[in-house]
Amino acid sequence: MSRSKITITIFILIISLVNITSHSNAQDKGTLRGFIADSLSGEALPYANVYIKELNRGANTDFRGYFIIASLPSSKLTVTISYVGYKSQQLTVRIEPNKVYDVKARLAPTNIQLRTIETTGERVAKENDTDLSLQRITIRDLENLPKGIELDIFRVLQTMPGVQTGGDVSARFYVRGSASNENLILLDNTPIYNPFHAMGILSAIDPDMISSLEFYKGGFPVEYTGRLSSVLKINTKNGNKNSISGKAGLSLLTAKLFLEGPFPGGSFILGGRKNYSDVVLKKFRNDNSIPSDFYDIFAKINIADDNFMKDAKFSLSTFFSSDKVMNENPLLEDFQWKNNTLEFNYFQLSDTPLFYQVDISLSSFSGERIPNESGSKYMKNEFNEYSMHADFNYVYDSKDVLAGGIKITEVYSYQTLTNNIGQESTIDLKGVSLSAYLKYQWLRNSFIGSDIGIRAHGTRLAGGGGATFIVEPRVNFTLRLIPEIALKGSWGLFMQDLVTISDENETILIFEPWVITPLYLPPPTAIHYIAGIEINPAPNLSFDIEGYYKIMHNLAIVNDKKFFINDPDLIPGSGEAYGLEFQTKYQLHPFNFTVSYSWMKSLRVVRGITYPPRFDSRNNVNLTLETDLGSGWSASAMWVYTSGLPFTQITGYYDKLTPIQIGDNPFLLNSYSPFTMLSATNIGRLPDYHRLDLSLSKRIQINNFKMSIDLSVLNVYDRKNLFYFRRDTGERVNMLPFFPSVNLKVEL
Amino acid sequence: MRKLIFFLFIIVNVILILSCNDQVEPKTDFNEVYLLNCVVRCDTSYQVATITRSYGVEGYNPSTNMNDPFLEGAKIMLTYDSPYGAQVYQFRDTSITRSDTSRYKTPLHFYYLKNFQPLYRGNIKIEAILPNGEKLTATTKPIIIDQYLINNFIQKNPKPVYPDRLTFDWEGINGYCLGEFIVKYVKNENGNWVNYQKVIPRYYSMVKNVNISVFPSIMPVQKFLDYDTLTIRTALEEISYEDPNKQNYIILNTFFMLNILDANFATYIASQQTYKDEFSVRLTLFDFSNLNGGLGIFGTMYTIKKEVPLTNMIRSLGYRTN
Repeated sequence: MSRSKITITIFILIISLVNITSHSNAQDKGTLRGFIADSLSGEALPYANVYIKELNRGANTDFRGYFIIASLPSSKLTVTISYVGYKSQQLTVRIEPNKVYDVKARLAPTNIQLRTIETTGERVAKENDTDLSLQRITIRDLENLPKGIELDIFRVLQTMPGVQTGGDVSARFYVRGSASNENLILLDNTPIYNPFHAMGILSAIDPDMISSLEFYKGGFPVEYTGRLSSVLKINTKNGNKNSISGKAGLSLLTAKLFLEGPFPGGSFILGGRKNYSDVVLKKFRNDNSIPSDFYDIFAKINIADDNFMKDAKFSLSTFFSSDKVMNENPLLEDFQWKNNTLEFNYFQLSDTPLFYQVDISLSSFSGERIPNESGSKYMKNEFNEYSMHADFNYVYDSKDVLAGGIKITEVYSYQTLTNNIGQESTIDLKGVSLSAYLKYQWLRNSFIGSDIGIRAHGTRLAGGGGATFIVEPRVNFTLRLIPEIALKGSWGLFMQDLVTISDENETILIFEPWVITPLYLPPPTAIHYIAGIEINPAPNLSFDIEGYYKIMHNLAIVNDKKFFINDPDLIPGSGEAYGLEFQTKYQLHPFNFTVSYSWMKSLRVVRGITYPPRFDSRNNVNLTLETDLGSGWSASAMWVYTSGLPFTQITGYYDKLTPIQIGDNPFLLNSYSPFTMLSATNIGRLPDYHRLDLSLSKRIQINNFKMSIDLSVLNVYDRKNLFYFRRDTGERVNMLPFFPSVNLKVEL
Repeated sequence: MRKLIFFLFIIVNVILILSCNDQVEPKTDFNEVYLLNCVVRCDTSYQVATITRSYGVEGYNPSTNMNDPFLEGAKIMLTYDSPYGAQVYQFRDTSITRSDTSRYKTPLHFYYLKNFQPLYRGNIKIEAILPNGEKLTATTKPIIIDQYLINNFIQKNPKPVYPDRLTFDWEGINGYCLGEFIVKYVKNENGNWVNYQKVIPRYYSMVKNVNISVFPSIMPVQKFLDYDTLTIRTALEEISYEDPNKQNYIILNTFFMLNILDANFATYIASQQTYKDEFSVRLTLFDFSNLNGGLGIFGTMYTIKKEVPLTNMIRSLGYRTN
């Protein structure tokens, strides 16, 4: 019997045993379930606090605004519902045995001028959550941070410990020593492959379409698969269910418009954004033009009508982004790329503590490099992913949770390449992957929580052989020793069956071409070991410390020595990363202060040579101070420090034989030109990066009219952060200089 | 108030310190490396090799180096595995006056062989022992072309057949091929006839209102090259661009050269194909070498030359012919 089969058998036996004990514990207990929404728009409130006073127990709503609290005694209970920026609400519920009591609460927003922060019940709710390495962020959390040119969710992630930045010039993020293509970015449930505008300077996801974010820096649960490093789940808004409303925004880079309102049986939201100037973009590259033109559009329709289908919710959404970089100079190449997603989701609550969903989605990407007469190589990437998955989640009376699901994905990837001797090659692959998972969350004891899951994955099932079967077991646990201290741990195996043909030695990755892992390479895998401690000595003070070790096999590395048609485009590499992260948050009204520090080390081994990848930044510090000044005024400051990134140094020069014409030319005697010799890969370090941003915001609300003005000053002390230097001249190319910026938003 | 002033003083100082530019050090310790370059021409018995060394400069412009890096005094041996056993040849050391003395004023040192032409497919090994005792070695294989294929080059049915195109066809010749279509001419400059040559582009490409010459690249698979006669005519016109006196030009000859390269030399040439792209600043550089103990290239090539008479076209443009 193979190791995979043994693992699956043991897992099923454990689940069966636990199920029996779960049912035996069900005695005269009831369940409270609910949905929390904004009273004005009907928009779900993610991660709201629900607290039962008599039992000192609670829960948080999920990203859909739903919560469930099982194993409640039959009695009358007082439930307090609270959410930052909203008036708390208190309800009385009568729990009956073996029944689900449904609550639908609508919280009224507090006046902007009188906004207060309420965190009632939050600590109770986090008792045994298996949430190591998970950050949940609502859009409200982001509002007070310095917005930069404009608010960008990927930039916000880069303020977290363990997340490295690609610098001012790239919104790409690198999590715990892994490459950016190892991050799974989900728009609702649909993966999105190159969500960047303007050569990566800006994320293609407009924050105005977002309700919340869930970001796993590692050790993510078994319902997520397909990437080695992290998961970013972007949950979009549903739109205003009660009235038509609009929103217009203007920054120095883009203009945007959003419209939302009621739709028969539900709501809709429609929005778009377009750039109108490259004045700001120039600032990112020493005033050199970036002839970028981009836009993005998002639309979503939701139907949740009990008359049509009780406790069901349907949504249909689409996202489209387009980018072009068109140079006037024919000696420079042009680029264009597009993302397109389409998703249908059906979500159903049942009369029991069970919910399930079916999701059908399409995600496509196409990108093209048009060489013109630059001498570069033509390149085209087309990528289409059709996916369907069904998931369920059942809460036992014991508070334990059983979840599972199946997923089938068909991927078509097409990539044309021209190698260095001008020979065009094509990677044209089609593949089907089928996977199923089962997860059991042991939550019956308030001091211990665990999450054991397994996913059986068959990938490359079609497309000319090379089918691979991989089992991904994962375990997370939380042990709360005393209410103020919790120990957490995570272990798991992760696999990635889609890879990119992108060269990490390019300073700017305009877009990354995605392909199914070629048949000559096994799919990349990684093992995560994570341990952490969470300390909450006071309600307004928290400390989080996490350490991790990650080992990666079969990483698909672009073959920079592909000179002939038969040479592989990708070669296998391996890697490891380890580090320590520290974060503390302190609230002293009206101030919120966050300090984070991380130390990490990342290494790659390719062709037997070990080197640090270019995103291997050892020390990172982030300091954030937010304050509510009252009367709609708020201010914030953010200081970011990153120790120098690795680079390859010059060791000298030589006169290289560079024949242009060889037939009738004694080139060995007359065709030499100077050439730069480089050291071993990435043994040098660039200067440290640091930057201070300040922001002052004013929000005005007159009845339904809302306006916000954000003034930001980026790089306050005009730090000359180095992007790269030109080897031929030694010229420094710096990143964003001192730069004042303004954002204006109007809502009706 | 004093505390506030002190606090502000500290903040201002911290900011001033932080805002200082850190100096980046793009260079590390100099690494002395030796290079051997030798491409054996299998269509002749005269072979050339050079040995150079790396150098450092102040700043980042290597063209400022004026110290001649070409080495003399090395011993270069070439061993050929012929069917009659290993044959050993030793290069001779010599020098010539440089045609370009803008960087180096000293004569150019090089090494040559006058009596080596490989006729069989045996390995060729080169070994250079430098004056300081360091050794550079490499191995490659010769390009051997059947005489029948050479004789029938071009004359075989050209494809595709178009009346307004000139096609060169080398079906049956395998290897990495690079075609060059060359016009040799002299120009009367103040009474002196000065030699020039022009390489005819594969085609002209009009991109964004700029006409750009596109030359053939190495072709590992394609067995023909065709030139539009309009392209050839345009290239010939460019020889005397804006010069009304066409009789100042004598076209000596026009010929097509098919260069067949071994894998080492083809890779070496291909690895130099860089391009202008202001967004793709690479952090590494391609630098192919098959030398052990140093850098450079040891490869082989074979050139087939065919005259291409274009007398009518040349005369119609007003040029004189030889």
